[in-house]
Amino acid sequence: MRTALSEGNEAERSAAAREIARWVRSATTSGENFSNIDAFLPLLTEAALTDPALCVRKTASLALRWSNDSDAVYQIARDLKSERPERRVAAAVVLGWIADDAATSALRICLNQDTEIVRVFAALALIQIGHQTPLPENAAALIAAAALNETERVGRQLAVAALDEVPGARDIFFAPIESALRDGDFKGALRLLESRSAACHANYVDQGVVALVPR
Amino acid sequence: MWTKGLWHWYRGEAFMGLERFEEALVDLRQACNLDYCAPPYQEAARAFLKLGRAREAQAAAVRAVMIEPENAFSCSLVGAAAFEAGDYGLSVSWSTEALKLASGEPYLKLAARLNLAVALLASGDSDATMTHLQEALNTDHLTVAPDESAGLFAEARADIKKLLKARPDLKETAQGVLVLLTGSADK
Repeated sequence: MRTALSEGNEAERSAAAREIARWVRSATTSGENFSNIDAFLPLLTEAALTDPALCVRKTASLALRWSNDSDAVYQIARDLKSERPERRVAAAVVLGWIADDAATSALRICLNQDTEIVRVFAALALIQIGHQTPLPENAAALIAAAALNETERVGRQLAVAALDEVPGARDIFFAPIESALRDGDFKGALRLLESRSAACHANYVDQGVVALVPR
Repeated sequence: MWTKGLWHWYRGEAFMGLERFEEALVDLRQACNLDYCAPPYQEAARAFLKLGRAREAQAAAVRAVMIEPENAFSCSLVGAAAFEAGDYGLSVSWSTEALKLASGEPYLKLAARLNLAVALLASGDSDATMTHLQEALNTDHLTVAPDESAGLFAEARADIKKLLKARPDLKETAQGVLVLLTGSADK
């Protein structure tokens, strides 16, 4: 299972993450001793932060959530101080999925001090943890722009996933297409859709959005 | 409510605009699979109608009605598909329902009324046909733009000409109706 999660193809990693998550949840809810959990935590943390597939990252995060391990939260929160904004975004998203209050103070620091796009994801994470947090005023425009223009894969994937979480972001993202269709410029609309297809391919068009906020 | 299927919906719309109906159907099917809402089913019904696949159009339009039973456009599409399939009685029923539901929407109301008039003609009820056509001709152009109503009348004429080929017994009434409609297009 460990090999599948770290070295398998996307389907194998996804299946392994699901299996581990199921295992962790079952152990936690039944109260039985789950002695191997420590061996899995670093692997789950790594998968949650860096796996190329959004669904694997989310499932690994849920496994961490069910493990109730605060060390994992602190470890991930360390990534909020990474020099690379995409790492900080990824960490904020994972902390939102884990929804452990232990991440609140680190996320609040991001909310006040980080770059605009990281602030948006920090706010979304705080909302998931259960803190009423206003999104930055230009959140919708920032997310729409990141979903379209972000060059780093994970950052773009997360921005695309957030299109449905930030009110108005999806409208801004698709506005040029609406406009082309309204004007009867159907070929133009197809061209605009193609550029968004590249942005959306992995998690919006083919599989649907992996919602950041569980509904 | 749109969530995941929006990209496919827009792509389907673009292909519909380009009259590339088979390609539109590929995307509209995806949109139907990803989101539970009426518009992709309605557009799929329109695409099937354009391709002359009346039964599939009817099935898609019925799905749209199941999702939004009070949607006049969906009912109108079921009526149109039933007409294309030669099921004129069913077409009258659905077009009547569409007319009832479209009361606050002048364009849909005119479309439903014209569909109903043509379906009634096919069913052999010439009096009711004339009544609805007169109502349609009296449509206030302040509520439906002249180019939009001209398009609907043109569609009705095309449907009647098609009907004449399938039902030569209706020739006399149908030609009277065509004269009335042609006069309307010249207005």
